[in-house]
Amino acid sequence: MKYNHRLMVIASSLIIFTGSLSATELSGSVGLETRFFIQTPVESEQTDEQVSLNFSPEIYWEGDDQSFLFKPYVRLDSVDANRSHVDIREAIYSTYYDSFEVKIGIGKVFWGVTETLNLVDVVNQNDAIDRFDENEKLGQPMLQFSTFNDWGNVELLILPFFRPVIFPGDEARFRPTPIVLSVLNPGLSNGMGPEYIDIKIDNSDPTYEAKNDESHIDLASRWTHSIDNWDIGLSWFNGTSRDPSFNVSADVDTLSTGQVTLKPFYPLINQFGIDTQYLYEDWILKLESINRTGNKIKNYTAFVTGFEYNFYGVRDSMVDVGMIVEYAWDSRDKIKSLNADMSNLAEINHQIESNNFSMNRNNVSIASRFTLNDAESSELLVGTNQNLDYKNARTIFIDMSTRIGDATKISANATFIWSEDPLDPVYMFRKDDYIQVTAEYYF
Amino acid sequence: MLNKNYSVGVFAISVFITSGLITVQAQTSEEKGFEIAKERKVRDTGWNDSIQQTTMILRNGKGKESIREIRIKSLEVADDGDKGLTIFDKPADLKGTAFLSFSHINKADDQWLYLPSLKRVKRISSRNKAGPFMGSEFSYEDLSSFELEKFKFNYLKDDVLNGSQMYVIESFPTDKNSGYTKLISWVDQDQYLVHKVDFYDRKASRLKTLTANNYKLYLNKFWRAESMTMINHQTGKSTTMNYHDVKFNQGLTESDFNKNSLKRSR
Repeated sequence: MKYNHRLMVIASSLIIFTGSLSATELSGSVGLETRFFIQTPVESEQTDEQVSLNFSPEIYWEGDDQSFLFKPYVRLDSVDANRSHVDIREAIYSTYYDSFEVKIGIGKVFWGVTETLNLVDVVNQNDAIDRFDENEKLGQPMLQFSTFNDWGNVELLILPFFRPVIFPGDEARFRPTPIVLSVLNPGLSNGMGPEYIDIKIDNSDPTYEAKNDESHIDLASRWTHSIDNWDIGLSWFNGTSRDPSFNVSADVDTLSTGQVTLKPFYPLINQFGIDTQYLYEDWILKLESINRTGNKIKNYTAFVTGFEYNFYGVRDSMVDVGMIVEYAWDSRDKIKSLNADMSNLAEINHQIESNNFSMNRNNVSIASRFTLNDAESSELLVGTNQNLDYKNARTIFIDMSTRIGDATKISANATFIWSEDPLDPVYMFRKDDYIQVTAEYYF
Repeated sequence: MLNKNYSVGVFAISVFITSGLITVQAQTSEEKGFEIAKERKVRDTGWNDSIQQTTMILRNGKGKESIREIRIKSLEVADDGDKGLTIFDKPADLKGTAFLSFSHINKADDQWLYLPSLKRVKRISSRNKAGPFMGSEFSYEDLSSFELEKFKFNYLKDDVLNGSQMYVIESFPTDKNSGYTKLISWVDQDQYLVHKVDFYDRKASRLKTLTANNYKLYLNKFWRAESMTMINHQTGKSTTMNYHDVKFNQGLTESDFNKNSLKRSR
């Protein structure tokens, strides 16, 4: 919460500052979003529909070889108080020369080449509550130095402040829901424990491995180079992990209430990453891979690889069709059944804590993107994710967007989820199929 | 119009060049076509760099219009295709999107697209030459720089268009990814400017016609059309590009045309 107070102070002083500059330009967007959840929720308090408004103005000032961008973000949600949030996406001053560039402020950096997930992209925290996919990011305070050379470009980032994940509230979907204990702990619950284990995330006080908590100074760097049709990037990150681990507190009460609380814990990590792509005719081959180590995590390697193939002007029409196939793998084990007597709560806690909740440890994604190339910039994306670790574990998604008039973008999205195995990390969201319609006006 | 700008001197020179071309007895129509194209290229060499504010008007078959505002920065590259950076100002949902392309003579062009909401530079396959640019009737190849190596030429005839003497030449794209089998261009005999082009699709039927209007002279040497209109005969759609505020010698360099400048162009 400390960060949010600082944000408000920075935001108001920046509005005053940029407003007083003459060569400024104001633009931005206002969006209205409605979501309908098709199935009855796992827990009755969870909502069936959700309406939300977002506002994202952008003030830009440009001088000789320097610029300043200020982009606050507000979302108001009809159901989830946690999703109603304010953020400064960007408040960044840049100055650039032929061979280098310096940026200071709150910014956003994208690293990576693949389409379904970007393992190497760890500078900004995901705004997980804003969108279910990973495309929305929280602003990150940074000092960025970039240099451009014949042998490639180098970025150095000093990241003095950390942004924890915002989790959905009790009434929201896509949050942990209760699981039948006898399935999680076959044969060992012995009638001792509760019927259900109800997992709650307590985000009131995230903890950190770093002594100075969220004020730990993280460092990141990336080298990128292009040689003809081949692009390569090597990256390094050292600091507080953007992905939380969880401290679990099952206690004697758990045996009667079934209530288990997970407290986010952000470990210190060291991560090396590679991202590369190769263009060959209509093919783009892609790979991202990371190796992550730390004292408080299980060291692991992960990769995502695949291709994009484009058919241009299908059947002599204006329509382009892109095929995307990607496979994601992670060296950590999948979630294991509990293997301890319910009287041994310390062991239960330990076993839950040591699980990998990643949804991308053995996953194939196949999608087609239809670009209509019409005046309305219409697009359609249809695809599926198949989790190969579990039987019948898949999602299907459809995304459509088009423009109405000069400045209004309409998009519709539907996601359908199948998950039968309680040990599948997606199982808790199995009833969260939804249809969403969004209208965004740009000014 | 151009014919009002005739000066006696220029006229005399063009008559001299024209007659020079004609008097070479052994010249085939292919050679003559090439000579005309080469003269066109030579006369438009040395402009270094330019910035053009451009309004694109897209019209569908029913005459409904939609407007795009773009800025085009261009850098002339000796012995290869030019470099171009196109920044989108309108429609507002695409504001800040930018397209970087390096045209090449002997290999596929390099292209990148910058998506400002994701801060992501995406490399894109350039084999979509025939694909429409921003939903317009102009394809990517229509907007890439004119290079002699991209075509085989053939002189067809002389003609009169809008009261001016024209050469009519055929151009056959050498790249198999081109959307065209043939272009027929009307090039004026005075300044070697293209006034009209008919484009023939892969089935060899006439697909589109480009007309260039109101050529204006810059730096006393370089002619640029104020507007270009592309009509698609098969769909009835058309696109007009209105170029305003054309500036040359803006001091652009290679460093204004790379992935980093793409990220900060807006």
